Amino acid sequence: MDVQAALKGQYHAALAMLHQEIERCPEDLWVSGQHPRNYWRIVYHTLFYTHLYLMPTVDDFVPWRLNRQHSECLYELDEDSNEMPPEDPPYSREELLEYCQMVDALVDPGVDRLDLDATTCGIPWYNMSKLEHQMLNIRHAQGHVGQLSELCLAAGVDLDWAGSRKAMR
Amino acid sequence: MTGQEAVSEAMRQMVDGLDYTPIERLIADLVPEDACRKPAGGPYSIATIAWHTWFWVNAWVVAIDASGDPFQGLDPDASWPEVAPSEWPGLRERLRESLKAATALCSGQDLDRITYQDRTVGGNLLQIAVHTAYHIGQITLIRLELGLWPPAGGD
Repeated sequence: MDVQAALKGQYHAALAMLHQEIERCPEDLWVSGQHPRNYWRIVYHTLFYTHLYLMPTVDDFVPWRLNRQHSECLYELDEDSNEMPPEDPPYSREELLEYCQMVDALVDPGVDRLDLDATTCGIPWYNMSKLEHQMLNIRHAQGHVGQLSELCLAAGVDLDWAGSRKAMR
Repeated sequence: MTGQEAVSEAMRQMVDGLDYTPIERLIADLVPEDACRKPAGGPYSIATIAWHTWFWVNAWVVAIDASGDPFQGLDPDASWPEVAPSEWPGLRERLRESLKAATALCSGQDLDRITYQDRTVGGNLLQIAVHTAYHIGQITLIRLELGLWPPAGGD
């Protein structure tokens, strides 16, 4: 089994579904939800962390050109003070489609340069091997893709399940 | 790092819930009426999603076992049935058993062996892990929407 090919296929599949969830989402759903768990923020959170965790280490991460600090945050910034992230204006669907395509294009070269035998993952807040962390990243993305699909279904928008696949372009 | 390690890790994380609520905790405390309740506007109850998840986990397990028709005579395009409250305890148990069977298949298999429709054992096992993770996300959201959060045992 070619593990790198399998990882790439699952990343592309998750991003293909997320792409549908951005593209087919009605405008009112896009901005719906209680801050900080609005639909668009869940999309951004998913893209941000998929992107970040594709890097060999956190120091290799170069944020997307329109990244805003804390827009990726779906929870309190500080559990003790209950401080919430600022209520930023939503990214447009076009902007996040661009980001989605950018992350998808990073998958193949990103996976190729990972050391999947490394015993550490290069992300300081996770104490696990690189392979474990890659599985976590794919599951994390799929978990949120599942949540977004549920919101789409409730809005009458159906989505197509994507199995393992190749890059969008 | 081997393919065996990769599929075992994917399955372990999906079942144990690393960084997420384990699926067992998401379904264990659900009474039949809550399991079969739909969120506002949502087409599916947790029980329907659990049925769909079980159907596909089971189909991929049977495909790997090569022990018969993966769909067992059922229509894969009709895998979102309404589930009656009386069916919930049995369905929950079937889902648990199918996940145990999938986990057991992660060791001692030739991951490159062709199974059903030109899929491979490794591909089927990874598909079980990511497809179930997707539906865990849906079940989590529905529990939140129905006011059934956190599950017994914590989130």
